[in-house]
Amino acid sequence: MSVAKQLPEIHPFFIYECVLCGRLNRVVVKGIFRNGDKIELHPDMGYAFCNCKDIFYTKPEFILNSVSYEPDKNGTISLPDPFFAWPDPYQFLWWDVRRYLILWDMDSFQDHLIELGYEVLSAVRDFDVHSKTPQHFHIKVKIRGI
Amino acid sequence: MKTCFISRLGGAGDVLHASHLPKLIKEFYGVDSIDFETNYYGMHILTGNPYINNLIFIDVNKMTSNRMTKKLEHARETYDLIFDFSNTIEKAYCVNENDQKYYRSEKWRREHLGKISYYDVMTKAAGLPEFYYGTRGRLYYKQEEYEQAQQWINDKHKIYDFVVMINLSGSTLHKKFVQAESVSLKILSRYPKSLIIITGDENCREQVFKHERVISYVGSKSNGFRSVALKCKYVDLNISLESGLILVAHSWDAHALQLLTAASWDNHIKYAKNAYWLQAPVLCSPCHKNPREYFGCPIQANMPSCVYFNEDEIMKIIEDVYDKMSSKQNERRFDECSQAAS
Repeated sequence: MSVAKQLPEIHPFFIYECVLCGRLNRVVVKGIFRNGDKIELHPDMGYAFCNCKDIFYTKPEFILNSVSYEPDKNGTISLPDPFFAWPDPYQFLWWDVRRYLILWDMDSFQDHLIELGYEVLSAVRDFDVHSKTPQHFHIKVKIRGI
Repeated sequence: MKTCFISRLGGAGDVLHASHLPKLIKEFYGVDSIDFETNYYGMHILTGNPYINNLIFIDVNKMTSNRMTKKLEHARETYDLIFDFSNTIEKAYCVNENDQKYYRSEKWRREHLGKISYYDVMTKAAGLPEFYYGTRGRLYYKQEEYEQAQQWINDKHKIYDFVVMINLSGSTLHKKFVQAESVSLKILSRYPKSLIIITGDENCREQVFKHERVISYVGSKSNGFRSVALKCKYVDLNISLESGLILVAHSWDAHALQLLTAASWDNHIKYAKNAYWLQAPVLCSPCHKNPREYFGCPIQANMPSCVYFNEDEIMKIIEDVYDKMSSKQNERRFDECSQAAS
């Protein structure tokens, strides 16, 4: 009961090169922006997904005001967590192509931090209904060996 | 009298993984009568199952979510026990694109989704205790059907010494055996008395190839799924990616080489005897995904890369099976000669 003979051709406009491994992947979700109180979708910018490190990524040229992917001086880092994005991706309010080059999976980001020489002390998803950083994960690290 | 209603729709493999449950449910819950609702593929698997009292066919093309939920609601009022097995394996253990688990790390999915047999997943879904783990399902046929299939393979073995059944495709792209022709030609060339039987539904017709020692049952009505599912018990080797047919072959403990793409050995093969397997040589296999859009998958020639296997490794396994089979045949012939001489 096969359902398709092969994958469909995708217009190159909707294919982004992975910022970590260089593989070409198609756009999965559109970027969002705020128009007053309204959340709107960019028709021409979005995020692709690459399973090299389980990341959603956009094109570097879209970024205007990038978030930092380095832990702060207290060793903490908070980033939007795509765990909150499914099944309805547009209930997730962080597909901001101007700010986030990569939206990391929490586990993969921990592995990435370990590769960078950090020891992960804790990693939690933010379920606090009063949170100032809803739909984020919070990771605390220290430099390994210190 | 204690009654039970079971609903399980899905592909042949999905239903096969639930086919042991009627027996266990009767045994554990003390159920006297089971009504089992299933779809077209499920009918192939469950027809003749002696533990089902009433097998109900449902045409999913005419199914609505209202019909489905209302039937279950009605069943809750009219049966003593009901089991709705929708999305027990699919979505829960093979995740698709609208689930956050699809986008998690492979490490996470392998840890949480990859270390359990799908038979055990279903046993657990039925609320049955762990001592039932390892129980597998099977298909049931009439005695004369077994005899006919045995006769069929005996006839083939009069001419051929190695009968290989190759299934061309399962339900999705990562279950399609794109190297079927190439591997078949290698088998035919290496073993001059081999016969290849290719199987699959009508959608596989474009993959069909011709050779004097290839028989195609693709899209055949006289050799439909149920007939082929019995024949696969008797052939010398079955080869397939993750199709329902290879799972049936495992359930018979027939010699079977499974080419794993999304699933792991634990998921599909754990309890099978005479099973051989190769995991796709891409880093992301097994991914425990059931993609429709293939977001994030490495792609090769418009196919997910995991469908391409190392043919030398496939041939090495085939050689191993052939050698084992030949030595058994020789032993059998030697015994026959000894008996004749004495």
